[in-house]
Amino acid sequence: MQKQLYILLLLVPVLFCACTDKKGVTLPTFSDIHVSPEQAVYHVGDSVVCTIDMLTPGDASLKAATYWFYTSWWGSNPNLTADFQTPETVDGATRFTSSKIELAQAGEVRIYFWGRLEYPNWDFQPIQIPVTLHVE
Amino acid sequence: MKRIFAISFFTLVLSLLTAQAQVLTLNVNDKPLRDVLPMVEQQSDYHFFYNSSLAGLDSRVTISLNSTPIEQALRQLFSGTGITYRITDNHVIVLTAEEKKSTTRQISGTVLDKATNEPVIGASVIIRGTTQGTITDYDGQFILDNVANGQYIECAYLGYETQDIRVTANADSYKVFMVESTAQLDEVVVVGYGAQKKVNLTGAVSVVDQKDIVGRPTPNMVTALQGADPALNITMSAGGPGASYNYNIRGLASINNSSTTKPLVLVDGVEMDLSRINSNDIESVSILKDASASAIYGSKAAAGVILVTTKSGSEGKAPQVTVDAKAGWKSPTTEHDFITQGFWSAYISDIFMMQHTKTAMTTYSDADYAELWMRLNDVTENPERPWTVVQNDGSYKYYANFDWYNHYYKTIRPMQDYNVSLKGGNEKVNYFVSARYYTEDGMIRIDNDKWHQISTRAKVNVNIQPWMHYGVNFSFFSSRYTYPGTTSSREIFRVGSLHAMAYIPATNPDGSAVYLNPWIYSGQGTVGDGMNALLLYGKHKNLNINREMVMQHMLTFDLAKNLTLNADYSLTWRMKEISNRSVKVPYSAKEGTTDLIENFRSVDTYHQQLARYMTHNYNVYLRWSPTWDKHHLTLTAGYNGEMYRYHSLEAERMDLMTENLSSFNFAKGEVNDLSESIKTAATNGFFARVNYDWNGRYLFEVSVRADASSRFAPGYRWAVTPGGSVGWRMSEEPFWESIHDWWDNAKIRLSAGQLANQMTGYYDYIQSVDADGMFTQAITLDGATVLSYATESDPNAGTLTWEKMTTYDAGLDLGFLGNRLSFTGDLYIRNTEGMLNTGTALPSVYGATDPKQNSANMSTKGWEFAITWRDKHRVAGKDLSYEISGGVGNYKTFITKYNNPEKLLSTYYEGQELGELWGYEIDGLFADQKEVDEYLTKVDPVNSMVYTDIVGVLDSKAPGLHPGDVRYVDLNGDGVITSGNNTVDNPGDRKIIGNTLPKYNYNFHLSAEWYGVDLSIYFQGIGRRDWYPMTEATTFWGPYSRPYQGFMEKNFMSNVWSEDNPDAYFPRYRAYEALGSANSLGPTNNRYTLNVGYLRLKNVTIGYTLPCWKKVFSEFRLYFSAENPWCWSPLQKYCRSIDPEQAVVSSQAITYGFARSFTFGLTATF
Repeated sequence: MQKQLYILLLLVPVLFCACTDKKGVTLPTFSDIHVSPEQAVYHVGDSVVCTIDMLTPGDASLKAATYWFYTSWWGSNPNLTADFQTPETVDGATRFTSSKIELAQAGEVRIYFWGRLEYPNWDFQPIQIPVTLHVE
Repeated sequence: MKRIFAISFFTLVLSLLTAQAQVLTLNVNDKPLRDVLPMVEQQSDYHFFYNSSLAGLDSRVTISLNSTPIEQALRQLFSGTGITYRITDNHVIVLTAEEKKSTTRQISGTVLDKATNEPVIGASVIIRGTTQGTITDYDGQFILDNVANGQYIECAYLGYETQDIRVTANADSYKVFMVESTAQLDEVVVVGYGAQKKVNLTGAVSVVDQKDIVGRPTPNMVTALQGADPALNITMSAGGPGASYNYNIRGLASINNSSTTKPLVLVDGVEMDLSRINSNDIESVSILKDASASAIYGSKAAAGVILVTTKSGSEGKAPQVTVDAKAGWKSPTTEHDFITQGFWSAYISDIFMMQHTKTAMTTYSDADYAELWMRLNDVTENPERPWTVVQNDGSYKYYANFDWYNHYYKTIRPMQDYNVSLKGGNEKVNYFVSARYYTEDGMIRIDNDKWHQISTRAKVNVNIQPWMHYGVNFSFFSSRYTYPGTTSSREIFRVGSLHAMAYIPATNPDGSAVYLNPWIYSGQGTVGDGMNALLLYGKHKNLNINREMVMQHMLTFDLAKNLTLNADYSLTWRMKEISNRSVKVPYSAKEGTTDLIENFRSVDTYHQQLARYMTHNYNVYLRWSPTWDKHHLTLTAGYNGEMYRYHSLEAERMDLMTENLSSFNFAKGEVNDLSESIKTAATNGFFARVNYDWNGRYLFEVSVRADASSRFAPGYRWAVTPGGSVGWRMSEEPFWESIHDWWDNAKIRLSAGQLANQMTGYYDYIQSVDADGMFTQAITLDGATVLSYATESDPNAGTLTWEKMTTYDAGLDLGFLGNRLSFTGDLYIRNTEGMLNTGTALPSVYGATDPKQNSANMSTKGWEFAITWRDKHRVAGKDLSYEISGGVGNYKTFITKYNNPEKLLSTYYEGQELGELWGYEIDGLFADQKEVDEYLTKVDPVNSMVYTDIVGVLDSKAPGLHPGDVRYVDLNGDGVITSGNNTVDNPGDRKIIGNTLPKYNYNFHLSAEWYGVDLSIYFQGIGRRDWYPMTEATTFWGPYSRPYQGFMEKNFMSNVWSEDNPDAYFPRYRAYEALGSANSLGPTNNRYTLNVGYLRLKNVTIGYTLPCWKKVFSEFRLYFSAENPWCWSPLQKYCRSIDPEQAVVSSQAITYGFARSFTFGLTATF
């Protein structure tokens, strides 16, 4: 009996916290990044194009959204900047297609799909979806 | 000077050596032991206690001793006599071997009130040195088992003196008579030139218990005294080590020189600064609050007096050493959870700026924002995404998440405090010597600032003759503060955060300092105004040294019974040394290049100031205190003189040959400053006081002092300050007898007195000539040598004289239930007359500033009271003693006369309440465009004084009033929001919206002690104090003040209005709205006036006195103490990074951060 009482007492703050938890927004969901051409090993100097589909649009309170592709080797190069995206509808799906990306670095490199979503009350949410390529 | 020091030191050493003589020289041949013991007593401080029927005392003794230590001599003396002994302090208790071996048994007894012979119920009865005990029953009876002969039984009960009885072999039943304790009633309070029983006080005097001060982890007495009495208001100027402070008793005594019209602080009769007193040396602190108590101190006591008495040695005490050591850490009292994500710092400054001028603060593109966004959660640099990207031209672009607060400041910094004292004495000499070393690291992280402090004190009293006594009291204080940055250590707090945005790191990839940020709309932002590069370079060095020595010699002559003559001389010598070195500071704006910062902080100079203060103080006074039957009289009369001299030399020269050495010998450039300042002052005063009481029932006190001050012209120098008070202890009247058993003390006090304030300038009555002027380079005779010139000051009024403060006080002291519950309260009125201010306005043809006159008056009305409950209970066989106390006070001050017939609000005016805050009224934020449009039909914002930028900067993104802007109320209905004529009669749309002076100063204190565990919890607070955050209160206003201010609380935007957040505290986001005095947040208004009252857990200490090692230590205590560990204030609802005390230091709230401290310590006494 005493044991149950202790468990109950432990649960009270948990329940309380659950009741007062802040409501979060529902973010859009995306497919994985599709790299074209698709191959197991790439070489420095190869070019690829990436696409990604939005699967669900997420919370309707979204005020603004910015999406872009980026790579792991652009960060220290002042001439290579984010590849901003405007979505297009393809076969009923909302799709983002990158510009041609030249693989400039050997090794395990990453290409990211980024998003910055603005909801009310300066609630900014990130989207970050990576894909790793093996470059020789 | 050196001679005085040498004589004092010699006297001190001699006195200490005398005190240590405890050897025996004795030649006895075949004498009874009982005859030898008195011989030992004659040669030593030891006294023997024994039963004269002990057989061993008749043993014949032959002994020869020559300078033999006393312990060894006693061993030889008792050897072979069959007698054992025990030494307790200086007492030798002689026992037989039989007594020591006696067995235990049961005893019983009755505890009775000696006066009434009534049983004492619930008295604790314990065997001393054990935990074994009991309490008396309804008949006052007790039974104790296992008691041995020779053991002592302690009987204790609150309100009675503890009684000890010794268990003897021939008695199994005991009667113990308890005597009512008069300790509380006999408590002696130090007053001017003497001491009085607390119960006989007729003036308003409060006493701060030394246990509330001693041992606190504070560098000095100032912070320890804060809140100790509701009448004592202490405001620190900053939280850093060595910070200056302001304090007053019952509010400001004068509108002039509030920094110098402070209460007089006398330490053992010598004026000292509270910040230079070691709180561990304190025996007692008396606060003389009304004029009758302070009148005897005359000219310097205008704002009240704080009397500090330091510890002394005691007669008949073996040398006792006390060591107290504590170490811990300090941390800020406030939160500093500022935005450290580069994205948000850039984004917020940009959106605020665009609302102001349509141009973003940064020149960052969408691509740059993407870079910042991708680094949003990078606490350290991710190799994929460096925080600094070198551009094609070699310049740097920054995408950092840099924590500037933790870059500049330490949040945990160590502190240590070591105290050692020695005290003891005999009937000839007693002494107290102490030393202290205190050190703490400051909060500036780079080239860390450090504070070191040493203080020593030596007090020796010598009874030269039974009628002549000499005392010397020597103290020395030295502090050394080293800090980086510019001359003012405060400057880093003011400018360090400017342009120090989170997206900018402190250093470039090559390690060079970041100074310029070219990525803002104006072309360049200067990061921290150069403070970052300056600190990183580490060549700016500053040093502040303060040294103070006080030497006091005292002679007391007992001329006749109850007649003493006291004479003392003290010399206070103080030295201040300030040196500041600055150099040219390098930085890099492009990879591989180094430039030097071009601003006034980056110059190669050396500045030094040496100042010396010397004060001679003399006192000679007689005290006659005869007693006839029930008549008690004390007459005190004497002379006090003081001479003061200040001498300062200051020099500054540029261009030193090296950055690493600072001396004028290396300086070859321009001499910026070479000046000297000398000030002298003298006062002479005669004083007298008469105290009379009849049987402790009717109390009278009259005092008078006549002072002459050199600060006034001949003919205006003398001031006479009288004071008088009466008291009636009703509880001593016969008619009180019926309730005396529960109502112990009742006293009514009435007092009136006058004090005078001389704290004007040193030479205000003399017109001066300033010969320091230099023409500009353009005015020369030879084209090279700059001409100097002299100026004459505006004519002064030669009739300036003392400001006079007259105080009326009515007080009530009560004690109930054996004085377990006590109350003391006062009502007072203080009228200050003749305050200096600009007198009668003279015609403009006069051609100079109107001279000052003694022409302004003000009146303060206030009250304060304190309640204490102290009791003791027996819990688990041990006494639990505890005390709960609390006090609160408040006052209001009104200007009753001031030469401002138009009642301009820009200065004081008749009828004004001191501290009153005039401001506009805001009744909310515009909810929608409809409300804006409706408002515009009634109010013209263009011709108002509160919407200047909103309607004036037409190039902004959204010019004109919009939803979310603040709505000022047109109080006078004239269609514009203005300040009218800035007079009381026409204040425009302003009204009184608050008061900046502290209201309801309160404290409460809980302490308890049980089973060796002691606990003290001390709260202090201010009920209400209004503060309007002015333009540069940047951590409050954030980007509303300056959009490039780096320290912004993380949740700041949740308080900013938007269509999604219409009930927000702050209005529509827009830069500079708080910075301009005519912008929407610049003028003082009710909506953003904050109550910075607070409740602070000032100190909590828990200690444990170990019951072991009693043979070595008389006390061994371990403790934990926390100072300022917790604070609550309404201010915290909107701003958690400003301490409420910090807010009132300046309207900008920019100071060295206030600190809390946590220390672990031990106290050992042996």
